[in-house]
Amino acid sequence: MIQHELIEACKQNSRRAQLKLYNKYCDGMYYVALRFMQDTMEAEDAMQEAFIKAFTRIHQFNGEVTFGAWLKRIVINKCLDKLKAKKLELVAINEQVLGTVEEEDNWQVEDGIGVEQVKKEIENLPEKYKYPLMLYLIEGYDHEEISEILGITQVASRTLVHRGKKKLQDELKTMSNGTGY
Amino acid sequence: MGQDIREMFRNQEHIGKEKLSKGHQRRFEARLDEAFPVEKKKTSYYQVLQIAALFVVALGVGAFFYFNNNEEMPVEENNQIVETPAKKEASEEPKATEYRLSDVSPEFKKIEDYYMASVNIQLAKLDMTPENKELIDAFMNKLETLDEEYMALNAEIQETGLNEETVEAMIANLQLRLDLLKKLKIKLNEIKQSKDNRYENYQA
Repeated sequence: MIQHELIEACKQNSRRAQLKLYNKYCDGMYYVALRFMQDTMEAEDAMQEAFIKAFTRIHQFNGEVTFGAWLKRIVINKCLDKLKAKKLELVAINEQVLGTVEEEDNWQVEDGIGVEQVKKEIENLPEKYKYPLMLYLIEGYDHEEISEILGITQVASRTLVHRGKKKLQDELKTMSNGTGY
Repeated sequence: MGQDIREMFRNQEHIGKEKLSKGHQRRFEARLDEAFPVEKKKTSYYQVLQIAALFVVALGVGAFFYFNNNEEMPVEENNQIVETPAKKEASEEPKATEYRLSDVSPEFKKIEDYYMASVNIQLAKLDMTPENKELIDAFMNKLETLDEEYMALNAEIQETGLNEETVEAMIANLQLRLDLLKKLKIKLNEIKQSKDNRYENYQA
């Protein structure tokens, strides 16, 4: 069955279509969830809850973006909700204080640093930088999307991503140089 | 400082490192049941419908083939009925068709073709009427026996080898057919004329 038909069938609450879509996207969505939720069971929960949410709101899916992209947004939102529920203070920002950061386009790090290493360092960043940076780097969202997902302004998104990046670069530098020259 | 972090992430291969734990689908179905309890019945109703539809289709296909076979069977029987005489001919013919002098000797084929063509032309020219039907039927029977004799002669040549006598007999056979046909025509003409004459006499 073509995806379009599957989605139509889902609007009719077809269990078969729902399971088909689930099986098609569950792995990808699980990886997304796993990047936010460190625990595999929590990630599965978030992923499955996101699917349920998606199916209950499937009529809102208008095809502006691909179904996968739509689903991913829901998964990420679900993850962030869960993280918030865990009382993790997320993005406590005073935008006045943040001000506007001169955006420099320097994303350079030392040679010999692997993606996994970078990911690890992102994990260790403070929450308020971690998620914007993850959304930006790993999930590939732009600031407009990040601002929507996190419920912040675009300026805040830019600032947080920028500061996160700075911190990340510092950490990586320290790591590769041992003492941080 | 040679690497751009953004590039690193863009180029990284997406390898599914960690698989979903087993039974995740079952757990998801449980969640679905919870979220769409009414729909579950609906879907099971759909499934029943699907199974029913499948049965109907299966029955339809089955019936289609069944009746087709039934239809085909008599056809086959008909074919057999039609074919049986043909087969008999065929079973007789192989002796004849296995060997035909005309197949071996082009000269003889010429003679045979000539006679056969003449016979066929004459046959085609005959106009059948209810009055002369009996006569023509009798003639046809005669032709048939001649044909059988002809085949027998062919078979004989195959067995005993080529000899003048048999070849002559075969030509005589063909000649006889044509002669018979000519006689028949004369006979038919006579009948026709006698009729006309009678009519004329009647008139006069």
